Amino acid sequence: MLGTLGKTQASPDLGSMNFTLIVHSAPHSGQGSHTALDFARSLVGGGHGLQRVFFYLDGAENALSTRVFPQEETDVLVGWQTLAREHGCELAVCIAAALRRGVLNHEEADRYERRAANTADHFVIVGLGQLIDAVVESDQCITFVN
Amino acid sequence: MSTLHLIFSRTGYDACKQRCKHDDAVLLLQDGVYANTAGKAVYALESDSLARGVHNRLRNATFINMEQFVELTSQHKPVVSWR
Amino acid sequence: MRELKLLLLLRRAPYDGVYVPEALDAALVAAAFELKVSILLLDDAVFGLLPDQRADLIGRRTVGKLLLALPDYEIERVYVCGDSLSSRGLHAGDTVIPVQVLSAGEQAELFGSHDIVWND
Repeated sequence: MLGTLGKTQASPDLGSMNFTLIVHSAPHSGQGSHTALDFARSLVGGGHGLQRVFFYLDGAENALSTRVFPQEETDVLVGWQTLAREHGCELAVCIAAALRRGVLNHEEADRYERRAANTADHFVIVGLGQLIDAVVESDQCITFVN
Repeated sequence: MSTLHLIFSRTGYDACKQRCKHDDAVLLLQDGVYANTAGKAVYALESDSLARGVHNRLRNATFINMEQFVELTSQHKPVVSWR
Repeated sequence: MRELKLLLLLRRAPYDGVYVPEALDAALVAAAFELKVSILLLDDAVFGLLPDQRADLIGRRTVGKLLLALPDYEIERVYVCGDSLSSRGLHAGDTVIPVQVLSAGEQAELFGSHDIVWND
């Protein structure tokens, strides 16, 4: 049932909330990363907290430093990096999802003897425990899919 | 708090529609704006509707912008995503 | 701190990429961190309940075996959509693990009783 947006009697006034965002969508194979980025910008712009954006499943591909975005397509990589730099939110990439998709930082590239490391600045490779920590510490968790 | 369902595609809408309670909120976004909601009252993300040229085809949809999307997510829990 | 209730919503076929095992991994970690985790299978995900899966033959982890291991992680609540089962010619009695069959309306209630819903 649609109510009016804004405070209603049924929902308490939550003021500023802390969010965890999960991104399952890779740039180009879906729109989810772009939607998540726009959502994240509005979130922080509205005074809410965003500690961590967690990139899982195909979302791990957002951490690739080697993408070249064509002119008419939004560079979501730069978008995420700018958000992280300006608002201090962490861009966390699940290590298991990253490895199987060929997204490796220097440490993992050395460990697995791969020719190149390719994670973009501001993205950190983490374990699933970091996702759990984030949801436990936040008020709301939203997943962006394809 | 009631549930907010995020609909990312037509098939997502078909899967979700029977699994909604009366006071749950439904937001169409991305390819979800192609859903045939048969006049059921839903929210739709305006940018995605305009992008796809379906703005005039969504009857009974309340169009919202990104700020209103954020507000919606602060009023419902949990938020369920439907691919 | 109040125990968080997490529901993993699975809709993909078990061998549609590696999404289902990946999503189950996240749920297992959540359970290890003492969140209260439940799983709901709908649509083609119900095929993950078929007994006698041997995905080692195609070089993958067997989803049926992953489901069998859930109680080791204290994930006891596995729900399945009755319509998804019957429309695929499956029966709750034939599943690799015991499952609780829910109607669409009961699934709607299930969402409302959780704090967080994750996807495959």
